[in-house]
Amino acid sequence: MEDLVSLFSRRDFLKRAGLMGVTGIALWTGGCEGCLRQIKDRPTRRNISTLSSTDPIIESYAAAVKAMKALSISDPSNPLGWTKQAEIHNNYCPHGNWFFLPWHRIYLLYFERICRKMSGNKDFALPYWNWTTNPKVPAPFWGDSSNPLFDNTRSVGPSDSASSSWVGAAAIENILSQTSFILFGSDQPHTGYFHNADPSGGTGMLEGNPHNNIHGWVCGDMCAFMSPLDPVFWTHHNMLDCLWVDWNINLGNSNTSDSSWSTREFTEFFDENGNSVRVPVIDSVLFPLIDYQFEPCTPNERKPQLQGEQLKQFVRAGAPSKFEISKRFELKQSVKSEVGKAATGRIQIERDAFAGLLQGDNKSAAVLTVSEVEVPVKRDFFVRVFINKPDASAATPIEDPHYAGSFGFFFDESAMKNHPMPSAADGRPEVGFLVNITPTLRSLNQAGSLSGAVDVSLIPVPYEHREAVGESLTLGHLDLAVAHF
Amino acid sequence: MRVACRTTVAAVLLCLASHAHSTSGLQETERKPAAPLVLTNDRATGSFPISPETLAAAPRTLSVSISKVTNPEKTPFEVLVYLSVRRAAPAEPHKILIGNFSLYPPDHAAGFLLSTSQAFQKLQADGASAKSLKVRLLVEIKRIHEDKPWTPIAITVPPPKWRDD
Repeated sequence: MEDLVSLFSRRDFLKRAGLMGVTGIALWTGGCEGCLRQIKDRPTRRNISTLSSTDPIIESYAAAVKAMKALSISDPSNPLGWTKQAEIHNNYCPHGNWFFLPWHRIYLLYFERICRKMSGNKDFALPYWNWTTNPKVPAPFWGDSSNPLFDNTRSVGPSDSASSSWVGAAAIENILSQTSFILFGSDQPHTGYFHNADPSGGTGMLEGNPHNNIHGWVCGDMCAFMSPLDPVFWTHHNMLDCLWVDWNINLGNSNTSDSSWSTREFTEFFDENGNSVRVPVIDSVLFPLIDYQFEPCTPNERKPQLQGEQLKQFVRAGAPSKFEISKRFELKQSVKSEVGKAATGRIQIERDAFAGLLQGDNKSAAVLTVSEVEVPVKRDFFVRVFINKPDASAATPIEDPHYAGSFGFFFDESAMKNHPMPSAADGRPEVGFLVNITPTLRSLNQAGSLSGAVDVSLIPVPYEHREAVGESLTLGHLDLAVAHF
Repeated sequence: MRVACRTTVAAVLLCLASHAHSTSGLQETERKPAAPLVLTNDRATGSFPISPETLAAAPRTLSVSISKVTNPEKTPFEVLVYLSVRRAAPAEPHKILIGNFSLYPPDHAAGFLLSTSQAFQKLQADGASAKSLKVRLLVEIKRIHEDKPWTPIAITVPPPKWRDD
């Protein structure tokens, strides 16, 4: 059983939720209408091979590239110019280490915004080249010099195909099946993070195989660090970003929790108005959930996972925008607990409000929100959630039918630098957690033990091999909601 | 589950490795530190020994470094890394692909990580019926555009490192 935040990178989400403070919680509970609209309407990055030549996306991309190339001639120092954009890559791109993925994600995000402005199409979303389903350089990139998307330096022609050993379904699924971030997304750099040769570094499988081989196969401009001069570059990297999203969100793999990764800031990018921006890696983790989304790009459909799959869809599609609360039952009292001792709160409910989901309605869920949680000074424990089991303890097994899920505190003070946030009196932030308790309620209902009240027991449990005796936790607010999506 | 599976693989490989040790007579040679390989357009393959202990442990990750590259024409090429399995002379070795990568740009040295799990599982399946077995780590370079001729290329590959992360 899983809590909602675990559906994508648990650690990074929690860090991010902490950074977002109250806003982070509001996103999930419907309090920030502007944010919700923005997320709901975020653009969808589509497979370029499925678009016709007159599709507004293709036309806008070509128009934007044409305008940027013209800007490079009329105002060579303008950071929005085509050559200046490529120089960002030439001068700063990290390769062969774990900044490869976030750096390029940020680079693409700002490029996409520049394209929106340059094309005048506010709905523009950068398309991706799905080389697994179409191993040829897509049709919009061919023609002659009158086509802004054409690059005459390429070594390949329109009928050439990339090898399946680089981009075929088996090769890509093998890469996606890696659960180690460093094998998937490259290793920690040993010497800086730039593209200077580091033979002792560790290029991961996504970068070493499809990324590098496509660069080498297309070649011409794509063979060098000025590769963004070829418009196909952006769609190539967009595919890599889509696979990273799939690896994180659909497959549930975590990025590294190393703070030297998450707190790294990049300052070499420019927004659509030509202003320099400063972006920490941790922000890029949520880009695909807040700023854009992808059409599915992976070789295989993921197996449906019943409740879990629905929740994944919920997160993937922009959770808050599709998360409507029909009923909410609150417990407005602060609850304190200590490691090893249960904190229990009773929430009075209207049983009828849960009738649909108890009968198997797969479009709704019972979501327990534990909010205003003061992040403990020491975080040697996590919290198990039991429903209708007031005598639950740390010894109660998670196979117990009353067990609903757990949450932990992967907070990293170093990630909080330069990020002012609402905080408790002692400076510690307050965060919230969501736990989907639908399956537990259903099984209790089937057993005939669900009544007009739900007892929520929260049990702080030490992590294995850690001493956490006496550590305490304050939970400010509990509520149980019927959510529809 | 994964631990159990890996234990099984390791156990079988340990048997194979022990058998290889007793029949090949190459153990002392294989324990000496291997020299770096220099692969060129004229000599596109080379190999490293794999110790019986490594075979037995079946580490999850292989770290391959390309420490030096001479490629003035910047010809794109691919590096393929295999387990090369020779059952009994004079039979040709059988290759099990561990992974493949290339350099970007094609004249930049870099290090690479490869997952070895699938290759060791195939080795287990292959080796279970072998009467004698010698396994080496084979490194091969190949032009990405095979329809175009080689240009002068030389790369240096230090002995790869096995990791378990």
